[in-house]
Amino acid sequence: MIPTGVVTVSYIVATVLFILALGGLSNQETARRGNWYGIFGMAIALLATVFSENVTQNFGLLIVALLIGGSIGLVLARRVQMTQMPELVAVLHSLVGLAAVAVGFASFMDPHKSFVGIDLTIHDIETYLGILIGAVTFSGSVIAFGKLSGRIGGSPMLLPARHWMNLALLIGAIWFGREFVLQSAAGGGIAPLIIMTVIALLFGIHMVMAIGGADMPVVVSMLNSYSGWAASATGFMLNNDLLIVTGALVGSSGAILSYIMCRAMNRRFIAVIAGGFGTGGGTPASTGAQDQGEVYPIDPQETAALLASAKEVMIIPGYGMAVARAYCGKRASMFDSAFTRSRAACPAT
Amino acid sequence: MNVLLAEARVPYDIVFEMDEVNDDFPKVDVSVVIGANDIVNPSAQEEPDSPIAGMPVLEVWKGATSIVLKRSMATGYAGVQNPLFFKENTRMLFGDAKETLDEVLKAL
Repeated sequence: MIPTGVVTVSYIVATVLFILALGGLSNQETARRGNWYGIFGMAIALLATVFSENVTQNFGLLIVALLIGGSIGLVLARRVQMTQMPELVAVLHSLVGLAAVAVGFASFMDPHKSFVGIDLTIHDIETYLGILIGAVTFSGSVIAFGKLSGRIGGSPMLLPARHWMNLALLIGAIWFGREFVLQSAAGGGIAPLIIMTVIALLFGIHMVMAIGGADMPVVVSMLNSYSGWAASATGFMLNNDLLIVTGALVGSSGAILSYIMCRAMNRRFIAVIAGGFGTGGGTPASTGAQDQGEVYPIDPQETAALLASAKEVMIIPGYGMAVARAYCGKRASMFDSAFTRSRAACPAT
Repeated sequence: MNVLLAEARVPYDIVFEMDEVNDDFPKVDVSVVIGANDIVNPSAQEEPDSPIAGMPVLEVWKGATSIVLKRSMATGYAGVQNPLFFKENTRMLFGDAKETLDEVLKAL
């Protein structure tokens, strides 16, 4: 066991490492370093938490849980192709949401909690918010995963009066929140909590179902943001500073990323945050199957000849390059060859 | 994409963002598009009704020749057809980009 002061210092170090990681990933030159900052930060945070005073001394159970979780993560990350990254991320977000829901219920039912009066109300609101955001993140991410992996059709599901349904669900969540706080003060409160969880799950499903396949990356980034806020609410609930800060970092960076992606796709940010976007301007390609004339195929030898005679070459790598894993080893030699000037233009991905 | 290029040890100083290179395409002799689709779709600028209308794109079609490496004529993420593939100065190099690139490099 390590003293609280050391835990706090470790948390600050971890926070700084997380910020450096986010900063590093924004640039190709520092992207790999950024990854390592993140790995070290997370390792420090985990160790400090496991050995802190607040945590049970039942290390056997903890280690078993860490081993199970760690190996599932390793297997998943090894098996997943670079191009299935959005799916993996969606699955991970669903786990964050699920964890926030579980922690919320556990915290509410904790027999040792000793909150009275206003403290109890504040704690109840934190619990309620944590479960609410967590449940939306969970069901939304599951649907997002289904859509990305093709298990659920990509076309947007548009129920009649869906905005009114969303509004009704939102008002319902607020009303049950009030009920929950009142009943909790009187010693009960589990019923409105469960009803709200169901409402939040429905809301998450409905929100993501209404979004078209092409806009899913933005949705994943938005769910990323939600999962951050869920973690942050959990941090308030557990009085864990690191969780609050990290959650806020994830939440705001996810929101910023969503904003950048919206701008890159010429979509309106507010429409995304409110959910149900990709419906207004996104009439699915009517020109999709139309024949637009002949294409001119070329073979590798001719390509080489063209390249050899070129003075200015621009290389535009995309998602498909990752699919073909064509970047492995080949890229560097290509750039080294005898072009007067060759450059790569990088889409913002 | 940043991480991928770093893993492939592409030198940093030849990688540019879209805004930095878009004005230079008229001077480019050959653009090699490797598995990118929506990001080089001229309909974002030419068809106001397109689902991707207004999206910033790399203006490769302004270069002398574009070579597009692709496995098939399938559409990209946005599910829209790409007129770039049908342009007079575009050549399609079909096949798995890893294998075709190998052959291109061998022939060079």
